[in-house]
Amino acid sequence: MINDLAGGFAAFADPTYLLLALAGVVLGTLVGVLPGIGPIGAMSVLLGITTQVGPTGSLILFAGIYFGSTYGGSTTSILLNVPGEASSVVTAIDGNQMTRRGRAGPALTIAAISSFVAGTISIVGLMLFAPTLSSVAVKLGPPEYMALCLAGLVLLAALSNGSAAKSVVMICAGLAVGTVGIDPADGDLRFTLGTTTLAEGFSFIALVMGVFGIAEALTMAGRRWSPERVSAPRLRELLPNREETRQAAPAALRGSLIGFGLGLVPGPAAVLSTFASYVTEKKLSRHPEKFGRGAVEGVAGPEAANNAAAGAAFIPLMVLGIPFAPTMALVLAALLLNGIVPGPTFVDDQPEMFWTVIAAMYIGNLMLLVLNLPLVGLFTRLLAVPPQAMMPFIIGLCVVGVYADGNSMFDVVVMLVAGLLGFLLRRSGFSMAAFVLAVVLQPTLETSLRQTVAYSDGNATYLLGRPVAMVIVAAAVLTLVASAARALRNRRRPNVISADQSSQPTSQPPRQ
Amino acid sequence: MESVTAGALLVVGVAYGVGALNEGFGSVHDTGAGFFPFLVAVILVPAAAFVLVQELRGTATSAPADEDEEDFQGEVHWPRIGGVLVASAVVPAVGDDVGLVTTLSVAMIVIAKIMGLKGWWAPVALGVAFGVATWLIFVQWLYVPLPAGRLGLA
Repeated sequence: MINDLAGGFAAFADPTYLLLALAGVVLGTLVGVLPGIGPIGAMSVLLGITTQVGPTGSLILFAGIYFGSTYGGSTTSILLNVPGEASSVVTAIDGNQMTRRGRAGPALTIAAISSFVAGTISIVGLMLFAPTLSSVAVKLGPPEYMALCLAGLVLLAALSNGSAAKSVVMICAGLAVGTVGIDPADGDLRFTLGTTTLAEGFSFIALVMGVFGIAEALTMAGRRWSPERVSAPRLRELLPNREETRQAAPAALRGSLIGFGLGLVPGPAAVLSTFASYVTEKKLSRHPEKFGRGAVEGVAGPEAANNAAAGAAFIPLMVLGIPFAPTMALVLAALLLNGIVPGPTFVDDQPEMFWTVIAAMYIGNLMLLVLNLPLVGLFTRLLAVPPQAMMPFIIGLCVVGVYADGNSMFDVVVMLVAGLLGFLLRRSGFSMAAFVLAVVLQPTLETSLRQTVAYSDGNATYLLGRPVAMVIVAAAVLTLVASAARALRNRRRPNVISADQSSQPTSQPPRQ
Repeated sequence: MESVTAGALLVVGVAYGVGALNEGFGSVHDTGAGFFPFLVAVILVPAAAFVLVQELRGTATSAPADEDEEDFQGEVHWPRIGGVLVASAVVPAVGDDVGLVTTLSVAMIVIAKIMGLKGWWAPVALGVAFGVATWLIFVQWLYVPLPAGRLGLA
């Protein structure tokens, strides 16, 4: 393993990979800082160039964006009480209170170091567990893959903040869109409206760039905007004192473990892990009354948790070939576009790629720590960039990216239509993340479902003889029940976190 | 607006279900091309109907999806959005004939103006800079064959 890792570092020394890692972490930090466009939007806009940078380069770039966005998201949470990302909402609660008490610098440092520690732990976990789990995953058959896909989709719908019914609708819409084109079993064309243009189905890149890139650009089109005034702390103000360090260290470690564990299971892990970590820290604290008033653990725990979840999310993708999160769906898409199909044999088949990406993650994580703290002032100044300048740029990138991928103007039209529909649907509270995940999982789900039906030979009890599939289904059902019970409980009393907070992160992004 | 969206999804779901039946359900041993789509429609139609009923009753949650926060809420300047879409649609409409980079540069200038970027220097600089960067990166560096159009301007 050490030799493999050394080989990975040697391969990563290629200037192109170094440049892609740097570009990824900087871009990720930017989209994390800027409310409006998140890592999914950034990745979707860049999907068009993934075939040019190759599979390893794409993985390095996208991993950098994903890690960077979790770093960057905390900056505006702490300084402005405006979470740049959904996974930074919890950080804003105590992080911004620290800023109000004049401890913005230590809050940013604690968030950054906690993220670094968690990121490193998750990469070590990825390095250790992915090869081991691959040998187990080889034994999984169609029923288990079907159960994993279903669990991934169902839990995303059940555990997300918005309407579960709307998420189910979007999952079905995504599955339906995925069925357009060639039937994977018989090779017949279906839902193509008699044209050959749709024979290979809708371009995934066009759909994703539309519902994220174009739709997010359109949101900026109709907004009044005023620049944010941010006073970022100076370098010498960044260091936390001994007491703050002592409180943050164990919280960061616990957050890392919680995040890593939740990152391995289907559902919106990055967001959930921050809440789980916050609640855990509050319960373990001798002074729970400090939470919501600038508790250091309330920053360190959740920040570590969302970064650990981000790293852990790569394991199911690389080991099973199944993305459990929308961001991972885009990583999968980038690999598929390059002809790489991740799965149980991925680590054995592509050892150089795997270890190069591991090395890139280590270096990228370090880059984030080294770059982010000194450059926090620069990043926050980007909040002053007007959307009038940013939006045409996003649309231009989307158009060129989609065209470059398929050399087809039809794909550009599909993207623009998807953008308008995505904009309208997102305004109505429908989740495009669920839609995209469903489009990606559709081929695996349909194929495994039809194979399972065929293997069962009409025997309804067939699945009972597949214990792994049953465990996955049972776990999903249990989580659903727990989620429903929690929802019922929350209807009767205020949310466990928000109930006793003196200050809530503002839900309004700065672009108003 | 939300009711219309939910209603449209319901109609699409029903049409998709009918289409799935036409594709053929097959048998247990040999499922047809419509088997999986029909199962999807069986879930999609009642879920969309449920959302529609909730919207009509006013009991649907107004919470945005996780990834959206409040970004997609609030007032919308529809003429501006329409203008942006029309300007963008010019690219696939005439991009093959005029050249993609040229069309896109002009579209970006128009979009920037529609968005309210003041003066002409900034929009023109934005459009030209993007065009030059696109040409350098995609055509010269990555060898992507972007349509050059009749003028041969890429």
